[in-house]
Amino acid sequence: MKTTITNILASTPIQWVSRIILGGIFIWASIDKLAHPAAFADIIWNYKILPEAFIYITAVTMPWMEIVAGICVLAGFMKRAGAVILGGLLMLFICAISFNLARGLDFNCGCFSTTGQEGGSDPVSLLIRDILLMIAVTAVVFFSKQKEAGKINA
Amino acid sequence: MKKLWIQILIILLTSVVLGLVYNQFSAKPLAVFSIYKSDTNTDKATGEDLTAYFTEMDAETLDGLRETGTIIILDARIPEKYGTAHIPGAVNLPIASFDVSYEATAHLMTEGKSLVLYCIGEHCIDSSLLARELYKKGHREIFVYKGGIEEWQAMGLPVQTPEGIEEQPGLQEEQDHENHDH
Repeated sequence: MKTTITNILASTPIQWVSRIILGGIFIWASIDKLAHPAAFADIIWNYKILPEAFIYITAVTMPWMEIVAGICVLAGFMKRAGAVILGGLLMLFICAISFNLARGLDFNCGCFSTTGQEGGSDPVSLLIRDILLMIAVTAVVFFSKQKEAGKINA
Repeated sequence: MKKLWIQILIILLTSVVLGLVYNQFSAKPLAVFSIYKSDTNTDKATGEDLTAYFTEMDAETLDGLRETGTIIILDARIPEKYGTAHIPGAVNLPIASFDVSYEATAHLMTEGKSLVLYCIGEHCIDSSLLARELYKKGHREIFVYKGGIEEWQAMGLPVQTPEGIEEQPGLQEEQDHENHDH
C-alpha cells in the first residue's frame, strides 16, 4: 500500500501535474501583488500577525519569492528547493488563516488579487485549497528525488 | 541535504534582491524599512486622491442620524461579511461587484438622502473606493464612516446579525465598568 502511494506520487504524470499546478498558481498569484505592493501591504497588515516594521519589506519581497520559486518548480531547475519555499509559504498562509479564523477576524485573503475582487475568500475554502497544494509540495519535495535516484519503479 | 539548503538560500536571496531592486525602480516605491502606515484615502492602483469624493462622518453622528430617514447607510464589504453583522438598516453594496449591486440598490438612493458608507475599519479602503464610484454615478451627498464595523462594534453600538439586532457592551463601556469596580 505504502509502495503504491509512493509510486503514484513519484510517477511522471503526477510529478508534472504537481509542478504545473504549484508553479503556475504561485506565479499567477504573484502578478497582482507585484503590480500593487501598497495594497498588498494593507492586506498583510489586515492579517494582524506581523509587526508593522516588517510589513513593507514582506510586501516587496514575498511576491518575488512566489515568482522565483514558482519558476524553479515549473522549469525543473532547483525544483525541490523551490517547492520547499512554496511549502513554507503555504504553511505560513495556513497558520495565518487559521489564526484569524479562530479569532473571528474579518480579512481579505489577498491570495490572487489585492482588490478583494476574488472568489473563494471564505477562510475554510482557503484552508482546504492550501492543504491540497501541500500534497503537490509533498510530491515534488519528497518523491521527485526518489524518482531521479531510481529508487522507485514508476 | 546540504545542497538543498544552499539552493533554498539562493532562491530566497535572489527574491529579496529582485524585490528590493524592483521596488526601487517602480513608479511609487515603498519605504521598505519604515513603519507601516495605512492610507485609505488614495487609490493604490492609480495614486488618485479619493478625499474629493466624500466627507468623513463619525460614529456618534451616524448613530444619531441612522433612524431619521435622512440617510442611506451602505456597507461596502462582501455579502458574506455583511450577512454576519452590519449596522442596522445598512444596505449591502459591495465594491467588489459594484455594477450589479448598484443596479439592485439605486432605487433606494432617492434625492435628498445622504449616503453614508462604511467597510471593515480604519484601515479599509473599500468605502473610499465606493464613494468614488457613487460620485461617478451622479451622487454628491456622500459621507464615509472610517471607523467601520470594527469601531461600531467596539463602541457597543447595535449590529444586525442573522439572530436579530444585538447590542454588545463596547470596549469603552467595559473599561468604564472596570474603573468603576476598582
